Amino acid sequence: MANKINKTTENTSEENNHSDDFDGIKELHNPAPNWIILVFLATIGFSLLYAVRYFGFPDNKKDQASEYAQSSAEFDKTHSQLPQGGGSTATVSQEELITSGAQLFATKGCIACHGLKGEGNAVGPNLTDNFWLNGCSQENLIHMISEGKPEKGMTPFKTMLTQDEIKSLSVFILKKLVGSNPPNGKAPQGVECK
Amino acid sequence: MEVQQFNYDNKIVKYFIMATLIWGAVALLVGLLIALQLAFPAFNFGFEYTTYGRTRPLHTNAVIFAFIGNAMFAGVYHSLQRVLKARLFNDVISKIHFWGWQIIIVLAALTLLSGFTTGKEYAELEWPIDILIALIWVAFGVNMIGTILTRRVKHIYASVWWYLATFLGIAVLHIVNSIELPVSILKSYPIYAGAQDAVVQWWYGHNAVAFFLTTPWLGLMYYYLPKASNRPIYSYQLSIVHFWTLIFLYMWSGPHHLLYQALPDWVQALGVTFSVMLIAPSWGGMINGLMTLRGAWDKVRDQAELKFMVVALTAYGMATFEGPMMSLKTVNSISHFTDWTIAHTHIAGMGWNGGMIFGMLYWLVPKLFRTPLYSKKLANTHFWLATLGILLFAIPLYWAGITQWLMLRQYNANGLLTYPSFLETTTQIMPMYHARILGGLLFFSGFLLFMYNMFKTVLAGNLVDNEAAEAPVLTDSSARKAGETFHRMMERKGVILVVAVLLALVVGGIVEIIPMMKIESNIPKIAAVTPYTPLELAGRDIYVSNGCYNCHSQQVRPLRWETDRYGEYSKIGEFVYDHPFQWGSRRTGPDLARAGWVGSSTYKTAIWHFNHFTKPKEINPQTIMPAYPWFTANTVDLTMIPVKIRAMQTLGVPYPKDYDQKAVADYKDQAEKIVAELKASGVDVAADKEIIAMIAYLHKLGKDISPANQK
Ligand code: HEC
Ligand code: HEM
Repeated sequence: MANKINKTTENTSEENNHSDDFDGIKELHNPAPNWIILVFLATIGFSLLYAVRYFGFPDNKKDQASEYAQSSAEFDKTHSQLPQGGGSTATVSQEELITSGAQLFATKGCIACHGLKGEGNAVGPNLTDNFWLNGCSQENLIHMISEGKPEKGMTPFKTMLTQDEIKSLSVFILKKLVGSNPPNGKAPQGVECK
Repeated sequence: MEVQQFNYDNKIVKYFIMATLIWGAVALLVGLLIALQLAFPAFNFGFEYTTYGRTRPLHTNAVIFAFIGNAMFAGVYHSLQRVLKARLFNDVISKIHFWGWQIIIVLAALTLLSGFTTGKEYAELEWPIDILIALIWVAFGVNMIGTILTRRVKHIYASVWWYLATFLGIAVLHIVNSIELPVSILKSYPIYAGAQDAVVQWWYGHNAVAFFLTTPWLGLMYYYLPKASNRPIYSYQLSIVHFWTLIFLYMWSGPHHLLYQALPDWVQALGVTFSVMLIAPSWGGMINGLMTLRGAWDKVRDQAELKFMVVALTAYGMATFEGPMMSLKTVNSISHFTDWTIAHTHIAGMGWNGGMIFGMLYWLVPKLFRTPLYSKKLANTHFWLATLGILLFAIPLYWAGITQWLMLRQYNANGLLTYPSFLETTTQIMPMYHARILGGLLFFSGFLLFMYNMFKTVLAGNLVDNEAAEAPVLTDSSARKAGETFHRMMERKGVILVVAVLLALVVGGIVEIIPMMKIESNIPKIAAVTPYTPLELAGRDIYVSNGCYNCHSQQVRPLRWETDRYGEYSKIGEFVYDHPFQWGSRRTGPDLARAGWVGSSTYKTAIWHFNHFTKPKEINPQTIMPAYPWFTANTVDLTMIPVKIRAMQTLGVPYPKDYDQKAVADYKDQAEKIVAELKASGVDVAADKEIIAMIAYLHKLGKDISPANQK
């Protein structure tokens, strides 16, 4: 078919068999290049295969929900073997914990709710006084940072920070912030820790 | 054979050209403004009217409908008369078309900045303007079809097929997508909800791209390229094949805007496959254009108009290859919600549409005003500024898109997201936003040179308002002649052509939309999902009015790195009361679908929201979110609440009978709870302020299906 057109019209100069005057515009009768026809056929082929792959088999699990379930299960399997932190801090000095804690405090969003210096603001409590809403032991703090208290506005950080990081934050708060007495401290909340 | 004398209407073409120049400058200037706003939030200027959520739709609407739209009308009205050898059908209709369109543009600018919007991308204008658009569009169509029917050339030239597809396509899309229920003079709710609204909206949205930014421009290419290069069109056969395949396939491909989202798998698959099949039909246009220049490349070197057209065709080829690639689900999971899409749109908009507009006008204006172009040198400078501008705009945004995607999905060795704070990724790509401003500036300065060149040319020349022409009367016997192909016959018969085009257009829409509306299994319900309370509904209207969807999505995709960041992925049944849907298309800020899910990373207390809306910089110094201090001052009009409830009932939202009479009391009850909560944190706000409704709305997002709600 392409050949037939080729023979009769390829490069028949400017001529066409149309008599109309389209404001002087002429149209040649070259055939569409073969390669673009092939591309077209290939994309149609792709589409058919795509449809068969997704919908051709009664119980293949190609729908979006199954796809997610599978990939998510794989993710959990590979990541359950990874270290979750802990243990390694034994070799880290308290100073180092405080330094990294300070940095995390400044960069991971704590200051948004607890103020630049931990002095507290309208959202979150003062972390520099020795009054606590949820207990003052390091375990209490670690639990608080990990699990949060979303209904009161404290974000759970366990999906964002490693256990090591949470631990260094707790050390930073207890050893550095508490007692630092920054200006504009928010009024104490909770019970004093003796 | 009798020869008839007649005139071409050049004056209307001049009008549309002037409008193109003026609105073009405005549209690009607003583009620069929003680029600045993203990099430097101070450019939001602290006014409700100039925040990014309102200026971004102004930019997109101005570029598409004001700049590109007026240029298209100028080009169509000039070429249509000449290839059909007839004056435009009716001078009064031409005038109505011109002035009507300009009024629409002014109304659009005023209403969008004032916060009157439907919240659907590229279809933001409210119902009275929608009606006006429909009327003016029909005027355009009547003028076009009338001219076709009074022509003096036997066959209808290829350009006109494309113009017809443009008129018919946009008419169908605009009308179907704009069916909405008015609740006041400038507020309405679409009759579709959630996933249904999404399918209709992106069937419209993608095909607005197709039938406003593509088909008319291919038609114009088929006229202005051979005219400017004085070369014959390469292949008449290719014209036919790529015309019919393109207009048929386009209408199916809308769902590629909704991949991995809360939409049935079969609809998504249609979006993927039909987009991929669009490669060849689209490239048909590019090939026909570039091959037409065979043997004329020396002309391309010294005619700025041809250079622009070559860039246009190249950009078109790139965009129409990239688009189908972005329609593959894997690629789309990267490009969607990131700046990749923005880069794509600007290759297409600045390169293809911009290139065609500049190319066309550099040729047409001297011709029309019968004088040489004022300065070839300026035109060449413009060419280089524009080309460099496009590159400097697009490359940084591709970079930004990929970078942000990589960061958002990066896990550390413990299986936790490395960058849990969304803002870290924004800060990382900030330098790319600065580069983009530079690219925009280059493009804009080129445009200023273009304007100057055009005005100088116009002033030096003189236009013949009514240009005399003559042609023999058309005598045509209607029977199909021996050896005449069916297509050839159709080219003689305007009415058959119109019907055939219409048929090719409507199939895709029907197959996708009707089952979404009628077959219940496509919209699996979730029992826990309840309608918005009156307060939440008011908050939602404020969200829409401020265009929050321009930066925030409400759609968590079933991808592990999204569910780890935001929570449970979005389900179709969650959105059944969403008139309109608000899934968004670009995440400049984090997703908000789980903002009401206590325990998710985006759940924040009332006082946090209060601080964040009034002083976002105090919460995150690096944030680029504008402040909304007026939320605490603006009052919600409570008299509208019962009206809105009744409207929702009409649309099928199951509020109890006569709920409109109880709604205001419920509004106040719920508002008082939030007021009390804020008071406990030391902030005093009245119950009827916008901020209260906004907080209530955010706390509804994702709440119904959250564990806290099940208790
Ligand atoms: C979205 C705001 C917000 C962010 C971000 C935030 N907090 Fe909190 N935080 C709060 C609120 C509100 C409370 C009080 C909860 C309550 O009422 O018991 C709190 C409580 C705490 C407590 C317990 C205080 C007490 O008195 O018992 C600690 C410790 C704490 N946050 C540490 C952090 C650390 C460390 C970070 C950063 C990793 C952080 N918070 C980030 C809002 C926040
Ligand atoms: C075969 C042709 C094309 C296909 C299949 C295609 C496909 C796509 C895809 C997949 C997106 C991203 C959707 C998302 O993830 O949100 C997109 C966005 C976009 N494209 Fe194209 N594209 C094509 C050609 C063009 C052309 C020629 C233009 C302009 C003239 C254009 C303008 C746009 C615009 C404005 C958007 C942004 C829409 C939004 O706000 O999300 N595209 N396109």
